[in-house]
Amino acid sequence: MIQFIQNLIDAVALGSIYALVALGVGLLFGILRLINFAHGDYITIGAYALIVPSADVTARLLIGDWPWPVLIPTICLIVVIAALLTDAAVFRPLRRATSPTLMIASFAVSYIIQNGVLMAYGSRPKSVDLWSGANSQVFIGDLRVPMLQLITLAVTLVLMVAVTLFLRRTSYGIQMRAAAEDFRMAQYLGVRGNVVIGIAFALSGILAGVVSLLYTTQSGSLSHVMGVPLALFAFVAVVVGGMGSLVGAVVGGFVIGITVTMLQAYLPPDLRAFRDAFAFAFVILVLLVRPAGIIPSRSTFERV
Amino acid sequence: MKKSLFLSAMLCGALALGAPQAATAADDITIGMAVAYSGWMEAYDGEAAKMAELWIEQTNAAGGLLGKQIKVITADTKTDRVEGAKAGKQLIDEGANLLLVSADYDYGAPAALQAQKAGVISVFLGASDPKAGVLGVGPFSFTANNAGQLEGATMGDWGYEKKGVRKGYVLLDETIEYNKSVCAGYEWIFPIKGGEIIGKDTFKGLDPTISSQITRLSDAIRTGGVDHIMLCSTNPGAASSVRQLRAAGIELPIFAATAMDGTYWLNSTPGLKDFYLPVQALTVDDTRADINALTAAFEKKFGKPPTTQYAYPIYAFLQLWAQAVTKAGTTEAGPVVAELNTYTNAPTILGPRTFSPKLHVQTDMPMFVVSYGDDKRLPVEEWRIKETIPEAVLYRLKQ
Repeated sequence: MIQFIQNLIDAVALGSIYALVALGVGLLFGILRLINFAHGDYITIGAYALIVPSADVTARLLIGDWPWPVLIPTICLIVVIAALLTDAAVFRPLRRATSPTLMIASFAVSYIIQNGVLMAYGSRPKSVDLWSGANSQVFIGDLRVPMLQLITLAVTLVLMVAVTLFLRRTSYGIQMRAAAEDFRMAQYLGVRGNVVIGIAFALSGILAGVVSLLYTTQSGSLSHVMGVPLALFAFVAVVVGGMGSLVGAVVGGFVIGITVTMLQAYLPPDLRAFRDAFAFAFVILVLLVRPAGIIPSRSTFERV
Repeated sequence: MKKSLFLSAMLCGALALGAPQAATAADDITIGMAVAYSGWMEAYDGEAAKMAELWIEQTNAAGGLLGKQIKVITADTKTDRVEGAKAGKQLIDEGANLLLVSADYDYGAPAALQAQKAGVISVFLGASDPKAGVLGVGPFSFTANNAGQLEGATMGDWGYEKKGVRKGYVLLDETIEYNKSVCAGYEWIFPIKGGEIIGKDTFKGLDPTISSQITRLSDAIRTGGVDHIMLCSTNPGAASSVRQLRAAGIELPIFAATAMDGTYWLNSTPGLKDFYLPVQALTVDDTRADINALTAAFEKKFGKPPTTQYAYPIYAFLQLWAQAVTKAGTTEAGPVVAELNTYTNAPTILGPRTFSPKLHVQTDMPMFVVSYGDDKRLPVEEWRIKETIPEAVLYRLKQ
């Protein structure tokens, strides 16, 4: 029983990381119908922004050494700028393009960012020690609860509430929801499309920045492809949760995180290597039962 | 129309005449380097390629080979397999007598195959897969490195004999084949010695967390008395898992693969202790004066010393190749390979090396066990396994 609860804690912690990434991916999909695979690379940018830009093999913290009240906003700001730049340079000229075109463009952005990181920082993975204090354990009886998992969970909840409040209570949030519902109609009613989309990119940048800090604290390792698996799982989470629905994205993130962890914990040893295949098979099952996702968005409809 | 046909016929003729001329005209001996000068493999190819340059410079200064100077030609594979084949072909066409290819089997094989097809000797800068050689490429292909299995076996053997460990736990990063080879070597030798492998778990290097693996490991420590961990992984996953293991309060000795050599990743686990891995050479304070002199020469020529031990193996291979070329009196692949195949425990700067007609990778040689502590890497001792690694383990036939 203890073992199961322990696994559940691990699962929820991984789920909250995926939920944060999925929220960032889901925001942009909701408004722009853009499946942004470069979102993972925003996370990479956030992580690399912590260190002195150099191709030296040994990484030295720069921004990463600053006190956290300055560090967090700075990293988020850098990622937001990167996200807005990709919008201005790539996605804005493609506003009228179809979603597949946008998605392929996002692959190109991802590729460019990865190779940019390779050029600037060298190809050997880097190691940093960020906030190792947060890597301690809390023991509740026999249960081992990593402090970082608690922090991750708390941060996810706070950010989810904050994003929800922003969307419900602020004028820009309402405009964003209107644009998500029917972009053209919202424009006719005076919503400025580029501003709303810019805000969505900025929000997803903030989320990516936060994930990059949580991830780096956990792993202490940086590589130019570090964000790719996160973006992939987040995309799957968005599909499972219901494309276009923000609550769905978060729920999807938790579902994927919990599924992957439980498979890792309970699959027989020989099958554990195929953990991700089982996870994706589960995704297909979910979609067979609920084709529009667990929590479908009101604005999406079955196209077939 | 007729004119253009005539012209193209002339061109073809000129090309056909020109090609063999280019290959034979040179009086020098030519070493081609079809390696990654860009892309992520550069981190692994770059220093070994520089080491090869250093060897060539030293050999030329000492009078060259067969009385001829050695010339270097290079082509960038850009960490791309298709580009690798092109780079290999280009250098063979330019007359390379020996082709150095990327450090990894998958990335180096396309270029090595071009050399094999043209009847030229190729050598992987650092591939640890026994397929990098006779089985995967052909009889003219070699790797400068040892088999990954030898690393796992060395750690299992040394750990049992010298650290007194008896109950192991295997943590395998499924990302690349090399990791599996290292674990295969460990899983082969440890039970033979009398040790017991209590449990085994897998992860992927870029997994955001290995917390569920840690949960299972903690249980195995509690109930099974695990006394050490065999970690078969490469960076970034390796450094990440060491950080997470230590953060979870697991202070057991960790045995790792050579791929974790270097101190550049230690930032991720400050104060790391009880961590061991096998290497062929130390980049700092090796116990052999020759190696330290080589490191110093490398630093003098390139401005900084090698980051990891992967710079060194090619130097030892080139020593053997030069010896075989001198003996054969030619750089022709046939006689030189026949000579190389007879080498058993042939001395090199890195220690004894062995080739046979079946195996062009090191599976039996001493390695240096190094320990990590207080942000430093220290040599512990030289260790050589006594058993011969069976073929089933080398080619991982059971898995």
